Amino acid sequence: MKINNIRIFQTNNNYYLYSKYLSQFLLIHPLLFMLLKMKKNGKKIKENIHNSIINNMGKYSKEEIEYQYKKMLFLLKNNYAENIEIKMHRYSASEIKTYLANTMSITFEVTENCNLNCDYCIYNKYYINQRTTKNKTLDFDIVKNVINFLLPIWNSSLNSSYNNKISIGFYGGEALLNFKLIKKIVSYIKTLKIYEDNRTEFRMTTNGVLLDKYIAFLVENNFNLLISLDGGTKQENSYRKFHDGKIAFDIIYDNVRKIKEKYSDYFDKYVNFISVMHNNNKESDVKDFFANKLNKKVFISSLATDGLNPKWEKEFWLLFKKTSIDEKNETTKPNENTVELYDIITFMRFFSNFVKESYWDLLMSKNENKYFLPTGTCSPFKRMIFVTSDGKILPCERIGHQFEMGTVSADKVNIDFQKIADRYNDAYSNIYERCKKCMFQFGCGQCMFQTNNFDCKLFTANLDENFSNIFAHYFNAMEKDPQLYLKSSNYKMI
Amino acid sequence: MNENNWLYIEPFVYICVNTQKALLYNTLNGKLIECLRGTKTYLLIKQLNDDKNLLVIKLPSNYQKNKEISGFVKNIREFYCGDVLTLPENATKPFQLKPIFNIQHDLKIMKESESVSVGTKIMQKLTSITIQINSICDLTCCDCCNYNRQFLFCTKKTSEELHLKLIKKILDNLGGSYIKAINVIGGNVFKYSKFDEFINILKVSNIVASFFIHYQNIIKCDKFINSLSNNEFSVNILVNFPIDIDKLKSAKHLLENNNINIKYIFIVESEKNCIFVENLINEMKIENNFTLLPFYNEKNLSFFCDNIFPERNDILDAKPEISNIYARQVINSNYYGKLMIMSSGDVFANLNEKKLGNINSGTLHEFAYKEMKSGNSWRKTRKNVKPCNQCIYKYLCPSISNYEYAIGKFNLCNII
Repeated sequence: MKINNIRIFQTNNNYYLYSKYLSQFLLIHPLLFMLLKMKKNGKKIKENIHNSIINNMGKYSKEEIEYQYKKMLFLLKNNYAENIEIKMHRYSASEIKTYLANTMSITFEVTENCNLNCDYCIYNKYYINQRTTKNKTLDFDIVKNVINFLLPIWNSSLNSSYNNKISIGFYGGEALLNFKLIKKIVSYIKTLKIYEDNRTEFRMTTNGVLLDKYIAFLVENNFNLLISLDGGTKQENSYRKFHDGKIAFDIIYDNVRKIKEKYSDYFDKYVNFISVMHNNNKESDVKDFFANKLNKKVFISSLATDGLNPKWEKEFWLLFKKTSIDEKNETTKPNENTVELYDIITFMRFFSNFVKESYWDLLMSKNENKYFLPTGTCSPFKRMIFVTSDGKILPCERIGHQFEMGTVSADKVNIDFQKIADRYNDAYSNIYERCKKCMFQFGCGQCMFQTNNFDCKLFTANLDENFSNIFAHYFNAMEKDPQLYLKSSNYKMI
Repeated sequence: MNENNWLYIEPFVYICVNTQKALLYNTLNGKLIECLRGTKTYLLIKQLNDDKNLLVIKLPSNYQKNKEISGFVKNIREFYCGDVLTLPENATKPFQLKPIFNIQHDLKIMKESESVSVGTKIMQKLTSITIQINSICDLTCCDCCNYNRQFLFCTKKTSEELHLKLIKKILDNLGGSYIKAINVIGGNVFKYSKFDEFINILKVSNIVASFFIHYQNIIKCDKFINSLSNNEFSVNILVNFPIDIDKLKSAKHLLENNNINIKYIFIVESEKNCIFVENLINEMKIENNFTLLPFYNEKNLSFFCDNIFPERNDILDAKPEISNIYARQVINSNYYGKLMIMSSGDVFANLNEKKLGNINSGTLHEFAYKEMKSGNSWRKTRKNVKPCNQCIYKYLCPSISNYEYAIGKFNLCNII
C-alpha cells in the first residue's frame, strides 16, 4: 500500500512528517523517515526491513530498526496516512442572501470626479478600464432605495450577529467633491433605527485636498478617514498631481497638520493613511515619516497589476514597486532566505490543525467531508456591498464594473440571488480541477476577478517535491527561531 | 565528534503538571506516564512542557547510566509518547510543533477587538435548541419536576403553554444559525392547544424535530400520532419506572404502524432497574435502539458510585483527541451552544443555572450573546470548581454535567 497522504520532509538537521488528514506535523527519527520514504515508493518493507535499511544506515541496531518500523505502523493505524475527500462547495441563493444580511459594510461611490489626476490612477493611461466619462455622480434616491432594500435583510433572522455594526463608506473619484450627497446620506442614516441602536459607523477614503473645508462635519460624525499620501516629501508624492500638473502634496500635508493640531483626539482615533509604493518612494522612509511626524502606522499598498494597457505597460513597470508584503507572499518559493512572523502565521493557518476559528471547532477536529471554494475570492457581499455612481451593485470596490451582481435605480433594486450563486458556481466549476491540484487550496489569496482568465500566478502543484521544499523552508526558520511559532500562536486575524 | 541527545514528546501527547504530579498521556493509545514531585522525571516533564522548550529538551550526556531517567525514556519510547534524537553538538535544536491552540474568535479577543464583538456571528455558535411547548400532563410521575434537571425529559413544572407566535419567533430566529433540528418536549405535547398548527409550522420551516414523549401519553393520544408520520420527525419514547409493559408495547406498536422513527429512553435508578430493562429490550427486540439514563433520586448514591462514577482506567480508556482536551479547558462540551426555552418563555443555557431572560422580550441572538459574554454554563469548566481544579486528570475527565449539580459535588469519580 502506498501512502500518498503523508508528506515527509527534511530540514538542515531534522526529519518531519505532515499528515494531510490530521493537518499535523511530527518531528520524526531519521530511520522512520527512511521507512516512510520506502513505503511511499511502494516498497515492501517487512520483507526487506533489515537488508535495505542496514545497507543505507548501518549505524542503527536491529532493535532500533524494528522499533521505528512498529512506530510507523502505529502512526498509520492512527490515521496519519488517511485520505480526505475534498468536494467543491456550491453556493445557494439563500446563502448569498445570508451573506448580504451579515455584510460588514456598504460603500457608495458618490462621484467619479476627482480633483486630482494621479498618474497611476486605475482610470488613467496605464489601465485599459479607463472611464468613458468621469463626471457621473450618485443620486440620493438610489442610495435611499438600496438602504431601504437592505434594512429588512439586515434586521432579519438571517443576520447571525447580535448588534453588529455596519460600516457606511464613501468612495470616489474624490468623495468630498460630492459632499452635498454625503451630508444628505448621513442625515438620512441618522433617522433610522439602526443608527439609534448604535449599529452604524461612517468611513471615507480621501485624497485630503478638501479636508480643511469639511473636517468639522467629519469630526462631528466620527468618520473613519483613510487619507492617501505617499510619504512626507513632494518627491515621494510626485505622481499625486492636480489636473494642471502641480503636485498636491503641500495642500494635503497642510490639511493633515491642521487636523492633528485642532482635532488631536479625533486624529488619533479616526485618521489613518495609505501609501502606494512606486519608484519615487521607499517603504521604510514612508513608514518612518508617518511614525515620526504624525505618530501613525501607515497601510502600504502596491499598484494594481491587472488590466494593464499594453501600450503603456513598459512605462508602468518602471514606476511599479513591490511592497514588503508582496515580497513575503512570494516566500512560498523556497529560495527566499528570510521568514518572518507574518509568514509563519499564514503558514500555520493553511496547514496546522492548531489554528481554529471558534471553540466549537475544537470538538470537530476530524477532517471528514472537507469542502473548499476554489481560489481565494471573498464570498459575495460577506465583506462589502459596493454601489457605483451609476447604480451597479458589486461585491467589492476593487473589481471591474463588468462583474456587477445587480443594479439599483431610484425605484427598483434588481438582485437575483440564484443568478449570483450560479455565476460563482459556474466560474468555480471551470477552475475547480486546477485549484484541487494546488497545495494552497485551503489558503489561497488570489481573487478570481483579478486574474486574467483564471491564469493564477500563485499556483503551486500539489506534489511531494513542492510540499517538501516549502515545509522545509518554514521549519528551518522555526528551528532557528522557535519564538516565531510561539508568537504566531497568539496572533489573531480578526 | 561530540553529540547531543534530544528527548522530544509527540504533539498528540497531553502534558499536565501540577504541584503534586506530572503526567504524559498519549491520546492515541491511552498510555500514561506519571511522575511524582521531587523526582528527576517530574522536572523533565516540567521542562518539556515549558513553552520555551516546545516539547524538546537536551538529556544529560550520561542519561543512560541514570536508572530513573533511562527508565523514563524507555517508557516514553515504548508508549510512543516521544523519542530520542542523537545529533552533532553543533546541530540546531530539533523543533516540534507543540499543540498551542490559537482560537481566532477567542472570547477575550472578541471582548477587546474594535472590528468584532462577542455578538459577531453569535447565532452560528448555537448547536442545539430545545423548546417545551406546554407543561400540561395527566400523568403523576413522582420525579416529574426533577428529571429534566439531569437530562432532556418532559416536565410539568411550569403551568403555561408556549404561545404559537413565540414558537414562530424562535424558529424564525434560527435563520441565522446552523441549527436544522430542534428538540420538542412537553408536558404532554399532544395536549398543546394548537398542536396541528404547530406541526404545520415545523413542516413549513423545514426543521427536523425530535419529540420527547412519555410512552403512556402516546397511547392516550393515539389520534395525534399520525401527524408525526413525517421523515423530518422522530419520537424519543420516554420510559420511567414503574414500567407498564403492555402500555409500552402498545406505544411501540402504534408508532411502528405509523412508520415513525423511534428511540427508547429508559430512566434507571438502580441495578435492579438496569437488569429489568435489559430483559425488556431483549423481549421487545429493541437492542439497537435504546439509551439508558441513570437518574439520581437522592437515595441512590451507591448506584452511581458503583456504576456511573468513572475509575481512573475509564478516563484513560476514553482517548479524547488533543483538541478535545483543550476544549475542556475553555468550554463545557455538554452545554456549549445549547439553549432551552420553557413553556413560560424563560430561556436557559442550563436548567440548573439562572434563566437568561424570556423569549417574549428578547431574541435568541440576545440570549446567546448574554450566555457567551457572562453566562455560567457554556464556559463552565473543571478549573472553576473544587476539588476538580486540583486534580491532574481534570481535562482528561469529561466536562461537568447535570449529574454534578444534582448530586451536589463535582468529583463524580473514584479518584479524588
